Amino acid sequence: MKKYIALIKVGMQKELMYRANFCIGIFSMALSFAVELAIWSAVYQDKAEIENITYEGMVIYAVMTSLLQRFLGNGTDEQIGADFQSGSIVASFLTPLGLPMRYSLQELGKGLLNALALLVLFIPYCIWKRDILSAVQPQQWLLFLLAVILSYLLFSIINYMLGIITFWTNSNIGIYMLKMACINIFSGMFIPVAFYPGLLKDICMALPFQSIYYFPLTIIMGEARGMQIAYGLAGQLLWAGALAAGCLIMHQRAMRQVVIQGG
Amino acid sequence: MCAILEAEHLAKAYRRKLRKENSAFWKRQYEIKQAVGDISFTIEEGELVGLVGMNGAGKSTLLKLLLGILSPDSGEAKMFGRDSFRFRKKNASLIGANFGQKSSLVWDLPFLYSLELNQKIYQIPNAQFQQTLDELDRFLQIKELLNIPVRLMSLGQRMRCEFAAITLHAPKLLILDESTIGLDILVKKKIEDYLNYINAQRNVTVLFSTHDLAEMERICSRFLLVNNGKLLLDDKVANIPALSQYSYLSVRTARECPCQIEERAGLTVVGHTEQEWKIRIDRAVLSEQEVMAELINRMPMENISAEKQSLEDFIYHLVQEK
Repeated sequence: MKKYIALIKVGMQKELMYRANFCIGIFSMALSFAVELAIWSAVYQDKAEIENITYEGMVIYAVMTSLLQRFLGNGTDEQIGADFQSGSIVASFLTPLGLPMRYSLQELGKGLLNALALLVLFIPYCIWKRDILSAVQPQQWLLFLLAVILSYLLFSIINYMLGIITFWTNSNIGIYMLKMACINIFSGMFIPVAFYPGLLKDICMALPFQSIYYFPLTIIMGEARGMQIAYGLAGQLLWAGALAAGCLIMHQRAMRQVVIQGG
Repeated sequence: MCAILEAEHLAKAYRRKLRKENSAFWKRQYEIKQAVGDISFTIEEGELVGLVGMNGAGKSTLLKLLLGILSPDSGEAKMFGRDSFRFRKKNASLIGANFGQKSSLVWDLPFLYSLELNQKIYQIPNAQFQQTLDELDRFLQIKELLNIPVRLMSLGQRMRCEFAAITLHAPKLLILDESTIGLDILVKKKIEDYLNYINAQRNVTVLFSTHDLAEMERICSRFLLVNNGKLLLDDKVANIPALSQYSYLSVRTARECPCQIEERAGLTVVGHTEQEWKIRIDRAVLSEQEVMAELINRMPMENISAEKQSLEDFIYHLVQEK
């Protein structure tokens, strides 16, 4: 257990090592949050509700999506791909930890730190809008937390798979960009999936991205209730299970045919 | 005594893409490069073994097969009696490995963070950790490097840290792949002293590949010579003089002598200035004593001396012929 915590700590320390980079990252997130709020305020000017989502729901959505984005991060696939290309991935083969743990736990440390820092920055806003936030029930928070844990698991599995694809393709930069594009469009991270037109909404619901980003947000926004939450959690578990099985097979195949580049 | 490392008919080939002039973007052509072809040997606990060979001979691939990083196409690699590939994670806490140009430390953070991370990963108790740190400081002076970020260190400093990191958990087997490239003589000496120390104290087995043959002669009792994926020679370093095909004579003739030394079967002139001659004798054809006696009789000379073939020369000629 201690070794996992040590890796998470190292992830945090790496992030803090470059202080200017870290601070700029947090402030840029806060800035985009402010812009988002301004846009939604304008959209909700003369409407109380759009597609069953109230303005208060959107405020919660804007806050939580920023925090969730920071927590999940961009993923480990880029780092795994880069390490494979340079050959420095060999160091991960020599410890008792194994590849997935080594990368995922450091990324978790980074995500936790970033989310916490942004949360601290959000405190003044949260105090100002405390009546909106206090309307959220404790059980919503708990279910949200559960969904976020499953989201993180699902996201880590996807990222690991996309990372070890480099063992076959030698480069995953294109795949990484495709993943980011899919997240931007299909996750419901910037615009709630509820606002999407019919066909696009169906496509989103068939992919795992909304299960990672949008589903936890619907719990906290109050958009999802009762059975919907149950279905959503089941969906997350199913995606996690299926992808984990695929990931395991990929991992075993990848280990069989790995090449350490650079002699 | 259990064999620490075993290689049984190991073979591994790489598939490489070929870039030919008129190859299309879609159609790919490949070539097969046999990196390691049927290599077998055993290393017992406590041995200090050097692995030598030309660039591209297959040394790194062989080491990766032994460590279980690569899976062999055929044959078996075993560490501690267990299949290297299948039991890689289980064996990991008993081994330390370093691949020369690649760092196993946390690049952005001060060195102490890497050490503490390794302490937690290998579950080293605090007392042992401090003791090992003191020992490492005695040989490698690492305490002065604890607060320097790894990315800001010089090569020599970084290699001392890498060594410290891989020996922190008191491994029983150390595998080093060209870890001393680019290091100055002082750092090399420190590392050699440390390797000798842990070998004497804790019977640590060391297998390292190097191009510095003088270093190999200094520390190793046994060496493996690999060329084109095959094991050419597996012998004791002390046996090399007996194995050498050539020996050298340095002759300094007297000033007034207009002598010439002619080449013949088994005798080659490899260097010649006014009065100095360097001659290579093929010991399969002639004996040094015969040639020396003959030259002394034939011409007045100021000095004549015989040299054993150096390890470098020995290997140079051996790989030329294969």
